[in-house]
Amino acid sequence: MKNFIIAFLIVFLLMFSVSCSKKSSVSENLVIYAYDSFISEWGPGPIVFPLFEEKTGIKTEIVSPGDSGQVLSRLILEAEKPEADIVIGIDNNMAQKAISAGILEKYTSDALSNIDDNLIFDKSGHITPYDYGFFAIIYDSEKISVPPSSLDDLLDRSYSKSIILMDPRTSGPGLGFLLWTVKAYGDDFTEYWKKLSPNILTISEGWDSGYGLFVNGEAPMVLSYTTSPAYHLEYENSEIYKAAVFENGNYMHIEGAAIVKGSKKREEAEKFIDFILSEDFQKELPLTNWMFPVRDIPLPDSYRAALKPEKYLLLDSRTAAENIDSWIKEWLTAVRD
Amino acid sequence: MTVKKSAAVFYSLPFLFILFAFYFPLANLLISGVSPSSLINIFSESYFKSVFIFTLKQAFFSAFFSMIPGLTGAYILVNFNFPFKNIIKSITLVPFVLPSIIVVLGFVLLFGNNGLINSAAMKLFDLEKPPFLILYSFKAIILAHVFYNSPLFIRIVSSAWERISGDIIEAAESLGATKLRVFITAVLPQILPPVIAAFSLIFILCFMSFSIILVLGGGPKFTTLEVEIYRLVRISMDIRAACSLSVLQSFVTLSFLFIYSFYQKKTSMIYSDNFRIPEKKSSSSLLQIILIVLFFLFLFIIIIMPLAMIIFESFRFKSSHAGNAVFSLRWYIKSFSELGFRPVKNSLILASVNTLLTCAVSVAALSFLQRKKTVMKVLIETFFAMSLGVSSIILSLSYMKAVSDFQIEIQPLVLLSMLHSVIFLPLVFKSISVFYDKIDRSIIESAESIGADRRRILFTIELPLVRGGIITGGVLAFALSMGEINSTLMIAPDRFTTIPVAIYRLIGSYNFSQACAMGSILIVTCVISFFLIDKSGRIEL
Repeated sequence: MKNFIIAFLIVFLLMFSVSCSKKSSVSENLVIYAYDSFISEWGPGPIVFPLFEEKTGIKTEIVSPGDSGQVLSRLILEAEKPEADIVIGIDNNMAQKAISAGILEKYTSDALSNIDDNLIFDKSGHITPYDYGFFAIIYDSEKISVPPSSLDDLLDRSYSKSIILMDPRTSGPGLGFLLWTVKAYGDDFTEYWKKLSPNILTISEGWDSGYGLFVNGEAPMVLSYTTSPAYHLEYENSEIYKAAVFENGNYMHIEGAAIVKGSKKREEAEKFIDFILSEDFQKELPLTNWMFPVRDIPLPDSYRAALKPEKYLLLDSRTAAENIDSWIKEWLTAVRD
Repeated sequence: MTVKKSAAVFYSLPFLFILFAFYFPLANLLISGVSPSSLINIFSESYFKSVFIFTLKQAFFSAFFSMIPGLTGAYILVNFNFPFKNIIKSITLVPFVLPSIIVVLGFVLLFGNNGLINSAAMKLFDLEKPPFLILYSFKAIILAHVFYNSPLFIRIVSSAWERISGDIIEAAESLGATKLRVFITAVLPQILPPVIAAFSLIFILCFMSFSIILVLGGGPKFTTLEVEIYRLVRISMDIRAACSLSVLQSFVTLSFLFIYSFYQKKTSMIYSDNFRIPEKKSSSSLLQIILIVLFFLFLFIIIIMPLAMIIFESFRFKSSHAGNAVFSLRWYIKSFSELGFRPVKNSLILASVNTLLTCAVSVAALSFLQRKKTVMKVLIETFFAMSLGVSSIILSLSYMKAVSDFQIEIQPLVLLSMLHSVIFLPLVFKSISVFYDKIDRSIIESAESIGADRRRILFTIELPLVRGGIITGGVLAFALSMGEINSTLMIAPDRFTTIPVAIYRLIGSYNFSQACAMGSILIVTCVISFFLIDKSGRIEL
């Protein structure tokens, strides 16, 4: 027991003394903030960061403060004393929040000329897009023979308690689907949600638990991305899960990276932004980040299951940013009744 | 250094720790953060009142329904001997460590519309629709919270029950009181403080719950305050409003804690060092047999089966979707080849440091409190329990901000251990304080009168008397740290993967079966660890 108290004393003093040392200098490395699934063992991080180091000789330091919302919160918290040089994972819905918070630098890479203009969602020149995808209702083709082909089809009475959605307050796809209905129905979107309610089995807090319910057979339809079936084809050799492509278009999701304001490594940071548009980086995205690369490059074979809708929907990112909070409130009133 | 001085240093340590690791970063965030206007804005939302009331309601019901099996379980563990008792004790605590996503999966595999119970019933009775609609309702929330928290109840209450004063019971029995009467007049007053302690802890934990509530409840009609805090941080990027709401949340949880502490101090007047080592009965009355059977049924269906479903799933492999599932070690082999033993090692290190720190801080603080007046005790206890009411996302943000503002260089791992200790300190503190309150003051006074110094009193009198509390608190600290995910994701250094983090990442990249394998590794690691802590605690101390 004595030893226990003494051990505690030593640990405590050590912690205290370590804690008191002031930071001596800025990091030597290029500091990159990214969301967790990007740096995860199964994400693009372990492949692309070493590749960048090898090609440029620039050492990187990767930090992940959680999901993409938490990455942005941290950057805003650190606005006065920025630690990061690069941020990965600012999407079209959050872009305006980040730009108004004044935490990003402008940079227009030459490589952007290779990219479809529609994908360059930030016209102010701060954020460089690197991949994109489409939200979609994924359905189990063994249980649903005639898939829905529009948002209106989802209201069909036969789909009672058959759809798993995500909460826009806590999940990216959840927010995407809310914006989708706003784009499609305008001010009447709350009416749509009221009619949709009986067909919703549950609204999960995150994509992971929602999709987990779906693959365990709890409901035949779930909100996800059009690329989800490609995963099942690639790793499970199964084409049973399919994406429903809607006649009026699926809502789009674009992710980008930017240089953080206050970065002392402008030159290296620019090299990194150029790198994310290079083929080396782009070709890793389909099977690790499960999104379409922004460059027009050959896709893996399993991507034949990942449909690209001919039409897509997208709200202007400024309009979205200004109204998201009030839309969420209206949505809550509609679904809580 | 004189004895007095070293005692002063020793007793100041817990205060320094909590000030430095909790109040300082939080104050730093709140100073720049809280704005009354944003709170007023939140209050004016029409749905806010119903969110608030629902948060209270579900927390109360969850605590209440955890109490029923909790009390029964404590009674059985204390009064009866049965084979594998220690292993069963260890297993009951496992739900406590599981990340909510694994609990959701376990529940869905068992209780879901396509789960084991429903599909078995459909096959057996040739039904077309699942007969038991258990999930996606209020009762599913309560069920999951009971799964999570009744083990906490069993732990806290049984560890105190084992040591209640035997004098009164013997006296009552010798006077010919019936068993029921003995229970009501002699046992109940003594276990009431730990029962209320466990009840309020579960209440607070459920008060902060959110992911289980959303997904198993069936959506936003069941919304807690924590969801709103999350939205403010994530979607609105309004950290000031999030802080304000978090402060409000803390006030609610702390007022409960405060009332409880005060009550506890006033009522637990029965002190004794003559704790009864209850004689374990082998022959029992009919009522007792029914109780035992019901408890084991509960244990099996609510606690063991969801865990077993996860383990079962982790050994299943289908080569194609249509094919039959076969027994396979594939997910384990894949996990170890991708991650090695790192997640297991990291989790164990983090949990051990957390256990050591929280227990030591609690014991030092409580030993100091021993000599204080009741009001002062309650105030200081609340001071140490404060972090229980603060949302972990806000705490993590406060750490990030402090590190950035003051440019402090701290090893990320040390930072993470500190954060874990702060989050879990209140639980450990409470489990040990239940024991400290039962120490007979006269023993310490007489030791002092014959000239024993503080250190001697601490080591020879106090520690042996609160041993049960230290073991309980230590196991809880270990368990909670093993399962923690939110702050670990936000603060952990690069490539520091714990088991829950690996689970979260696996599911994020579609690998559900492999996540179940990691979940099973977590379950087994924890059962072994709890077993060892329980065992070593009994021998060494």
